[in-house]
Amino acid sequence: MKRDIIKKMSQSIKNDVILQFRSGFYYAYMLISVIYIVVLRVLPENLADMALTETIFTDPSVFGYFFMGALIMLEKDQHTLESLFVTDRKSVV
Amino acid sequence: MIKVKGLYYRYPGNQNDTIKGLDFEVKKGEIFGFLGPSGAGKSTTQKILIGILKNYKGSVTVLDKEIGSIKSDFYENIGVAFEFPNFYTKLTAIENLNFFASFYCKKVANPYALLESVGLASDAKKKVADFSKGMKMRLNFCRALMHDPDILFLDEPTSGLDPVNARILKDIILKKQNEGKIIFLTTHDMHTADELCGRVAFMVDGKIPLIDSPKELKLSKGKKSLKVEYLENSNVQTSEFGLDNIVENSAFIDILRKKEIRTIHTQEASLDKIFIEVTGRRLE
Repeated sequence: MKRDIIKKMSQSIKNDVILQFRSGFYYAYMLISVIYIVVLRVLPENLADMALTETIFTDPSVFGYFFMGALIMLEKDQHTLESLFVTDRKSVV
Repeated sequence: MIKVKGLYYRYPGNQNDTIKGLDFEVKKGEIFGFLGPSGAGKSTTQKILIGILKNYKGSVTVLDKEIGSIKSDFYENIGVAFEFPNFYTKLTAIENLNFFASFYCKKVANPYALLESVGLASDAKKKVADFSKGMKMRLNFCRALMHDPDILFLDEPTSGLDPVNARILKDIILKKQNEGKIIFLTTHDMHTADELCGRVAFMVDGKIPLIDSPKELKLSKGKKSLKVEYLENSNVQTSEFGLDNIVENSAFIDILRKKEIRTIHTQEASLDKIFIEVTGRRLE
């Protein structure tokens, strides 16, 4: 049973990655990363050090919110939330 | 089994109840048709039955569980095909089915076999964005069936389908009925309801004024007569005869023997007419 749930969870994660990739999430985040790099490069050295530290600490939450927000927007736009609601999502995820 | 007793529902912020005291039961192996015009409260009732709307008054038990207290695992035995077939449009048909299949603990049916059963096998790797409405409806149907649920809630399942594909879906629905599944069919298509449903409930303005089998309704509300259309001197003539002792009706037998018959029809009422007679409303 536990093994089944782990298998289902990994399948679920794999499906999510495919969905995010097809929906262009990774390209969008690559663009955000390029903007980060450009901004950090053009900043004066004393400011760049501080900004780099800030970026390292804030990026995980920005990254997380970006994906959460994008997924919610995608599901709202494609009206799939109702269909997800009528699955046994809580037992698996 | 589905049991509904004294069900009332009011949407937050509304002055009046949308559902005004429903009572009905649906048993194992039954196809129950829920018929009514748009805005009658059909979708609201279905949303309550599948646990989307919770703050209702009265009692609603589905598979022996009060719907207000169900948990996520309840959906292992419930299949829902919503009226609007919504999918992730950038994923293919098979990827969409795999995506939703991963949310069930129980073993799901082979998605390729399911697609094959509704004639979508060759479109399995096509993105849903490129699907027509009819193809999405069939995929929607597969999604509802894939975990072999005990109860199927189908909202306008044949809407937008050509007659051949509508027939395929109807046959699958009948097969599921023979397997002992409960099928709750919401529709305003009287022909589909007439063909599939063991019983139908007429719903208007949040109430159910009548529940009965389509066959009984048509017989009890129709005329017990028969209309014959035949050719006489190259002209089309029609005659109507009462069904009582029709074999002894010499005029009728005479026509059968001597004339060229074009059509013969018993004059039972159609479900559309009965609906208008009972509710005073049209099904639109």
